Amino acid sequence: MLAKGATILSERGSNIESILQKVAEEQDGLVPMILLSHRVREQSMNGAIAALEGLEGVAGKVVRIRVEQLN
Amino acid sequence: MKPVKVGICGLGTVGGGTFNVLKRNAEEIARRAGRGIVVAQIAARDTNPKCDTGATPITADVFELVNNPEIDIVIELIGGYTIAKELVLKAIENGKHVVTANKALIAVHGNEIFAKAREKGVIVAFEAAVAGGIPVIKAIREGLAANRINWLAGIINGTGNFILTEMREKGRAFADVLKEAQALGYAEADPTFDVQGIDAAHKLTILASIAFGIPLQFDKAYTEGITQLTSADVNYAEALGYRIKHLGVARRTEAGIELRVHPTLIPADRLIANVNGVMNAVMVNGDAVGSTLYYGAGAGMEPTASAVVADVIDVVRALTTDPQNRVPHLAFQAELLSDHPILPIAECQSAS
Repeated sequence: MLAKGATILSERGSNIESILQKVAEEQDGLVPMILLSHRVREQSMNGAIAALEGLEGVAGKVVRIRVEQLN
Repeated sequence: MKPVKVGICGLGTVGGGTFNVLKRNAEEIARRAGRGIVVAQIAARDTNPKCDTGATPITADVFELVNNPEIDIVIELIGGYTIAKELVLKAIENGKHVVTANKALIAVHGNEIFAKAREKGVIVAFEAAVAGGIPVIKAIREGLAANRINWLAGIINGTGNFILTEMREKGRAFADVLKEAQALGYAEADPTFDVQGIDAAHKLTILASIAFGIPLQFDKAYTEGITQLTSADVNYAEALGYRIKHLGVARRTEAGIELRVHPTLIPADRLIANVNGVMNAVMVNGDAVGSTLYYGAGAGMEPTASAVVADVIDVVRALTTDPQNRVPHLAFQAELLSDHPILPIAECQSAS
């Protein structure tokens, strides 16, 4: 799942900055996965999100919150 | 020199604060402005228990004040788009200068208002419209006038920031904190403007215009509220070394200008990530000066009055200057505003 997520993002010009997989919070066989991406055109990210939601191993919608480094 | 006569429209929180500050600091203000400033008339529907107006004449009719030939400066503090717009335009038509705290009015109708004000050679000042008492408008318009501004980012809605701070510090749910905010008077009965980012977008629109020299384009601002955020989101952000803030971002790029308000993860060690409760802060990055930060109370009776009265003093100083040589309304010479487009959100570049 991690590998698939990374591929989907990099296909659209973004790379993953970091990943958290909260195995300890498993519920009904699902674990939350948090991806932090690099800067990319939002159009591309929208496509990536749709693709992620379509993956067989993924349940529910992707929550997307933007990141700003402000440096 | 004879004192300048001003009229205050609206005796609510900001109106009351403005009257009080003008009265309490009259001597200090006269020392700065070079002449006295007298409130010649107030237009209000109700009295304000926190404001003793003494013998100052009060009318229930704002237009009586706006048409009063004795008054040089009209201070619009009633808020809203409709009567406020009418009264501001009438004041301008009557050759009076205007000071306002009304971000919605400026964001939506500012282009029209400034055009009329230019025709009549009068000043329209709006420091109190953005980030309350923080003099961020003046900082960008004048303090940073030498720079090409690259970007600015601000926590400019105290209600939303209060809610996010409580969610993080006490692990509470959004709906729960919103109820408390309403009880404390930090949020309106209809909190939509605050929690959906509309209020922040009004303010961001104004900041972007004076930073980049573009016409006000509120309708093109992207807004996303904080209503969907959960404690889980706040905790994950913390785990990754970030804080979630409701941020307004305006950024110049080659393709156009990004104008967006949305929940944002900011590295926890940035100063702005540690602006909590109802406080506001705006970061502005210019090519010469680098990053600057402006912090202070974004709302409240006297903080907002501080900004209103500062504008009044500015106007008083400028009264005898040539209208062609005053500071332009949107910081840039009106005939030199740029048509660099606002980018739709899909074209913006962001990490998430």
